[in-house]
Amino acid sequence: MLEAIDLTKTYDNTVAVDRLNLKIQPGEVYGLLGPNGAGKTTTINLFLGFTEPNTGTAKVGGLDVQVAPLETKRLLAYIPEQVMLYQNLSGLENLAYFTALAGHDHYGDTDLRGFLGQAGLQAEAHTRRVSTYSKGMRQKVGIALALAKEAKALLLDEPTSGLDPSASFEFSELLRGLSKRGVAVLMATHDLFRAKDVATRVGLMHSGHLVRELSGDELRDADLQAIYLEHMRGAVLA
Amino acid sequence: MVLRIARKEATEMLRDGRFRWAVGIVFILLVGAFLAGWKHYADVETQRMAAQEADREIWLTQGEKNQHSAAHFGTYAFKPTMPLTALDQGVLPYTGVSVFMEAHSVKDAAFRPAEDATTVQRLGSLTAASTLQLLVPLLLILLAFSAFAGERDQGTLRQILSLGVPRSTLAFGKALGVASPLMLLILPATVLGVAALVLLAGPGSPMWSLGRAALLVGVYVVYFVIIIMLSLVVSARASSSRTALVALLGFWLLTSFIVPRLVTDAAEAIHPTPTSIAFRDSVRAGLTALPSWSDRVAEIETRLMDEHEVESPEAIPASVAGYALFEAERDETDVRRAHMAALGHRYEQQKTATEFGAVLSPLLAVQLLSMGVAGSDYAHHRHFADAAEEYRYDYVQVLNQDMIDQNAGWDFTVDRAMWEQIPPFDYTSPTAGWATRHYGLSLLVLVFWAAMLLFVTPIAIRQMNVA
Repeated sequence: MLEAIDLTKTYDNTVAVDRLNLKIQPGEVYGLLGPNGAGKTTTINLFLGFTEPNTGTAKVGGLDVQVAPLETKRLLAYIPEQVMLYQNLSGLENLAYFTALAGHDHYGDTDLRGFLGQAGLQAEAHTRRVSTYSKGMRQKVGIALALAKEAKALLLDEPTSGLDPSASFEFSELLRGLSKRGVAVLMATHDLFRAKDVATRVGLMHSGHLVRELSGDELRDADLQAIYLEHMRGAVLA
Repeated sequence: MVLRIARKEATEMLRDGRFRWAVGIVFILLVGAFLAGWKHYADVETQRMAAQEADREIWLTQGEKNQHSAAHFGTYAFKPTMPLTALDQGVLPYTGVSVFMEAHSVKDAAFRPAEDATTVQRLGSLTAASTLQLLVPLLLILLAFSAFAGERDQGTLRQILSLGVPRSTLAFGKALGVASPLMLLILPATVLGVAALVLLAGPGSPMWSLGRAALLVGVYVVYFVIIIMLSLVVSARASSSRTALVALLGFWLLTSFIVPRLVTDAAEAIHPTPTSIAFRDSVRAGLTALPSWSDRVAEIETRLMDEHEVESPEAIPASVAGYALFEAERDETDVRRAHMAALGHRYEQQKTATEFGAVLSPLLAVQLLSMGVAGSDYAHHRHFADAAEEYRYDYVQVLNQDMIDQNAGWDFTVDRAMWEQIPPFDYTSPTAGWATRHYGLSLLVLVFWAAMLLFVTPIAIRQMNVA
């Protein structure tokens, strides 16, 4: 569903992403780990078509992002570290607006409330202005949007940073639910614990390179922190 | 989807107290200024009709007197005020609404409000036109500057563009959202205005006023579209909404106050007009160059003695005074009209220079077109003054000719029958087409601004940075 082929992006003289090859199947949750500046956010921007690659291609659902920018975005849902919403509108109004812009203007209020409910936002909050929302509540509006959009792929950029443990756990549950529906998830994160908990595959990124991938039993049994530190230290020494 | 975006923009604005206040204040000012303008128009028009009737009565009942005394007794020409001047006063405070016509001269510009004005009024009075030209664009800028830059600052721009909405759709929606409070303002104002024109303005005037009203609405709509497009371009390109606001306010200040002032000064410097004293002196010099009264009388006496084959001036069986007055009036009028035409030409040159200046500030084109279409510009005043001058010359010469025909001397008198032979001054205002043609260049420059922005806006929005 998400595919990077020799994807390379340089800013001025620094390489942000270097010949990245990545393929994420429907139902997979891919945890992209790495320190700040490793190229995680750039990778997500490349899938969103917000930046143009120097070489290589990013594909969503088999379509080149640069060739079909609007069609590929319709397959995606994007949840950044902080889901940005319109402060003067309620959660419901925000969701109604975003889904309409995504081309789904056929939903009624009941449908939209249904999505917010599935995403775990309590009913009394639906009509409150977003300016009163906590960070976790905003993330839930983002998930509801992904549900309403019927997104085939989810791009997450540090989605759990700053969430309290129970909100973070709830978020993992929601991701597992989406994964069961066949959504491909790419999650850039610092949170090793969360990555190990929810990801089916994990990639370690450093200076634009994918330096290590772990999956299945290997991932379940691994001491992720030790491997992470080893690679980061190794990369620094090298 | 465009409507959806516009509705959301409008909802957000409505919920933001600052915008509610700003829109409300501009609305109240606009309505207030229009009502005050309308009241002024209605007062002047009532006074004009009453004065015109009274003046005709005075003319008819002036009693028995010599024709030339009657020519000096004089009469007033009153300019019919056009209903749209309720919106735009233009140069009316300086030109006045009537002229006094008598033998040898038209006394220009009586009853000018500017003569009674205090210094405070020099700062400019609040009219519907100044609200539309200065405050409404400012309001549009305040509503539109954050369209893209603000969403970028907030982070919502990334969010909506990740949804797969085309940028052009987003831009149209934003433009419509900004325009919607304005449409709420302009649509009822237009309907009310048209109703007022049809119901209240005098007979005959609605027919041509409606065309002018439509044109006026068109000019302002184009100007507002220019401001909205420019705001979107700046908002798309600026690094933050603060930069966008500063840049747009700078543009507003520059094009509303600084450029118009500089262009007007430059036009005056390139095509200087004489001061009123210098102008009067040069007319006087031209008149002095004509044969003096005694020379003229002597010349006519010689001519008439030859014609009638008599030996002495006393024996001439014709009105020497009548001939002298007729010919003097003719020659003096030629001199005076030549000077007036030269001055008018200068003003036209200044107007054209100002129209070119509109390339630097679209507001200049809007101001000229607004005055011109409303009928309160110098060209309309000139049209009226020329018609009054024609009428004056004709009636003065009818009286002089009558002296010749009746072989009248200075002590000869005529009565009401003569006064009735002279029809009242009947002035027809020029058409909307006439006014538009006169400002063709302004229209062209305004369209140029709109076309340029129609070209630039899609490019700026396509190249807009998301983060």
